[in-house]
Amino acid sequence: MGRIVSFRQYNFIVSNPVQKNYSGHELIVALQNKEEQAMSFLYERYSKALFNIIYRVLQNQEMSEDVLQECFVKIWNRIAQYDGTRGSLFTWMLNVCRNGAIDKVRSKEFKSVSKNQNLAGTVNLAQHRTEFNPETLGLKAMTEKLKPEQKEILDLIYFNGYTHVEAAEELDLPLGTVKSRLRMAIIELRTKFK
Amino acid sequence: MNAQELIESGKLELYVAGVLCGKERDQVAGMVQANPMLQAEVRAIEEALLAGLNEGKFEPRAEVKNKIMRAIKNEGAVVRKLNPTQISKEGEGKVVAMNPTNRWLAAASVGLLVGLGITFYTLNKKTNSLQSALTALNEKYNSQLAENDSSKNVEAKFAEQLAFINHQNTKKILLNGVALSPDSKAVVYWNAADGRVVINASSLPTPPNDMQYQLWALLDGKPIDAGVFNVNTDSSNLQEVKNIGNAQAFAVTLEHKGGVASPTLTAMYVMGAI
Repeated sequence: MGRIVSFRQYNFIVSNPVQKNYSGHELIVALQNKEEQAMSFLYERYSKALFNIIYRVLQNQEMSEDVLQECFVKIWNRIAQYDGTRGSLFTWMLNVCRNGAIDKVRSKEFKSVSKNQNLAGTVNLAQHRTEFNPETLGLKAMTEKLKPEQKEILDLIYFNGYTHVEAAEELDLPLGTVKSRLRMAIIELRTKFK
Repeated sequence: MNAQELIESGKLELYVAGVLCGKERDQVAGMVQANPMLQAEVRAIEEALLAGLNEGKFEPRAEVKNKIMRAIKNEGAVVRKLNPTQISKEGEGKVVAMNPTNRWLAAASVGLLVGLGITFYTLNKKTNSLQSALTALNEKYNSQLAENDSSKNVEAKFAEQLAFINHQNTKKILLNGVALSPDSKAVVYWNAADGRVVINASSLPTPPNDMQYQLWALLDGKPIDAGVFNVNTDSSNLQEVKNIGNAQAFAVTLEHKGGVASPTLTAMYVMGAI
């Protein structure tokens, strides 16, 4: 039998959304059930971080906002495809956003805007990778305590989506060094943001 | 590789970054799934990264969230997916042949569902566009109301001024230009009963920014301050100044902005006796 929902109740729900808290698993189930409140929670929790990832690549407020919006809608639409046994929700969203930003860099729109803004100097279009300079890119607070080589590795792998093999090639370092540097960088962050 | 070795290898950081591929990722994922300590480690890496990124200088404007919530609302109305865990496993894999009536019923109900879906989608779209049309209308209505109010106010003011000018105790005094400005003219309306004074000074030359005209009432050769006024006002050109109890004549001088205590006689523009 169908549930009877009075209009008054409906109005109450619509006009007074209460921000609910979700645990990791609850959040995924709620998103898969298409609960809008879960989406609101997801946005509050992750939007700024993901935006900074996107902005890091695009260097443009409006384009980054567009990409963020597209990515969140994509996350909503494709949540059924998310497989918790292969990685966390955060990692999945990170991939969606990073790929969204990189696709945008390759788009005609980006090329015309970056020409106008003379961004060619900061974004290396041939390699689709942004030049390393966190200070001018708004992530100074995050990377303040890191050594330059730690910043560099964090930047390549987390913001540009390089695999450790690619990063090792790019930086001409042994694989083991890449991994240990990345680990030290994250450990620094963990002590700083405890 | 055991859990501790995995933690120390730096691979978890790569796993969280989402850059491990194929076998390597599956191996790490499998170990994480099975080990709460590794799960805690993954969460700690994520939290550190999230906290760091949240210190970033940039953030999306508030409207981005609204846009997203609107976008998913429209999608959600059309494709509401079932939670996979809610799908019953009962009878899974069993195929039962339908009798012809049931087949027709099934086909009809699918058709009905599709029809309902389309209707709901269209209605939803229509409601949204009606909603925005209504909002627009409402805004227009409110601005019209405000406009209406202000024109009503002006109308009331004019009617009141007209009544004052036509009042039986109101005297009309013509002020003519003197030597300094022979062509200037002004009209003072003065009500001897209640002392109210209104001036029409539209033909006086526009004063410099730091100067203002001041009206004086003259009684037994002594000037009484009747207040300062501006030249360009509303369409009625009438301005109320200070009340004057008794007077034999009125005069206007040009003074420093805000007025002075006694008139500068060399700067007199117009004058007229009652």
